[in-house]
Amino acid sequence: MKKIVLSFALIALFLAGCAPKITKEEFAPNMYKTHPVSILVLPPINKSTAAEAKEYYLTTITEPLAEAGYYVYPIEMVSEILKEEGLFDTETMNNVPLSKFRDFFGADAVLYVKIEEWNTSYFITSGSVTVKLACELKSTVSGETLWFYDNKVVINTSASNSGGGLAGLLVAAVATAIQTATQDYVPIAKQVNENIMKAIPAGKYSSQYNQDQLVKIEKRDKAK
Amino acid sequence: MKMKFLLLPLLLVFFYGCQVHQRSMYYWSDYSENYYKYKKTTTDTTKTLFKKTLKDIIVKADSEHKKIPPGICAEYGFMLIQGGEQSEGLQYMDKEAALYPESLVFVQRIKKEVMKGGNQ
Repeated sequence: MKKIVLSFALIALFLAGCAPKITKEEFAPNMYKTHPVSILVLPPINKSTAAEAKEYYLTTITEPLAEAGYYVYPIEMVSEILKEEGLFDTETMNNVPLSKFRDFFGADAVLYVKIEEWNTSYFITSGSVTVKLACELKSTVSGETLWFYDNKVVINTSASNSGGGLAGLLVAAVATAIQTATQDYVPIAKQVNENIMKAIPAGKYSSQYNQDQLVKIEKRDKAK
Repeated sequence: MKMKFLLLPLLLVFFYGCQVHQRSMYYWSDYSENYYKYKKTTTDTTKTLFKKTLKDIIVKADSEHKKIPPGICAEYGFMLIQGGEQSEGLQYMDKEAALYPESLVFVQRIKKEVMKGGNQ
């Protein structure tokens, strides 16, 4: 079992390394033309069935986006202001023209985040927890998409059945259930954020600012 | 038995760790942990802890040889204003604009609303 798991991991890593690559500038040329400094992160669009995902996600985004070199508007304050205006659901904000965010906040760009997956999958001794996020950065000046990216992380919470027989299976099933149920989503969301932010052109406050045009990233096709 | 399911996560951590990691330029203290605690269970205790964490960042960043991250002063100032400490809260809003000039439009708008008498 150990050998199979190890070889799957190695194959996955190998294949990941084989994914088509593109430079940051080729992928998002308008980022390097317009150089947005300030980003307003809107409450995420939650496609998962976990209602709490939206608020929990918001506690994870400031660090990686700020470390990428961007000015990030204070998340909690912005959420409260938007709630007061009846605008906490980003879905309802689709009708709000981007220029309004520029007028009110002075934001150069707005980050739309979609929580595509935030769930557990569990079947006897097979368990996993998945977080998949998709980001899209839009200019408040032109309305165009400046950059987008997505990433998915799956944590395997399966327990191996080493005891043999029914007893071993039961032990493994319980262990899997516990591991799956107690696996915290937030660290996984943080890992997904980190993976996504590796693909964003460096912002004004980063030491890599305007120097990372040729850094290669895995290509992504825009969904929908 | 324990070693078997540590192996794959360890491998993943090893490969992630191998990637070049830029040194953090900001001092974060326990920002995301305590923000998460606040959102998970919203009580006076978790709110106070979050507020204390923001202050900790502002006070300690310098001695940690790091910068105060974007939004932290504004967030702290806003919580002070909500708690009735308007004057001190507005000072932290000003500090945000001083650290991050791109926040000026936002800070000025909040200050205007606050000084109008209504709390935003």
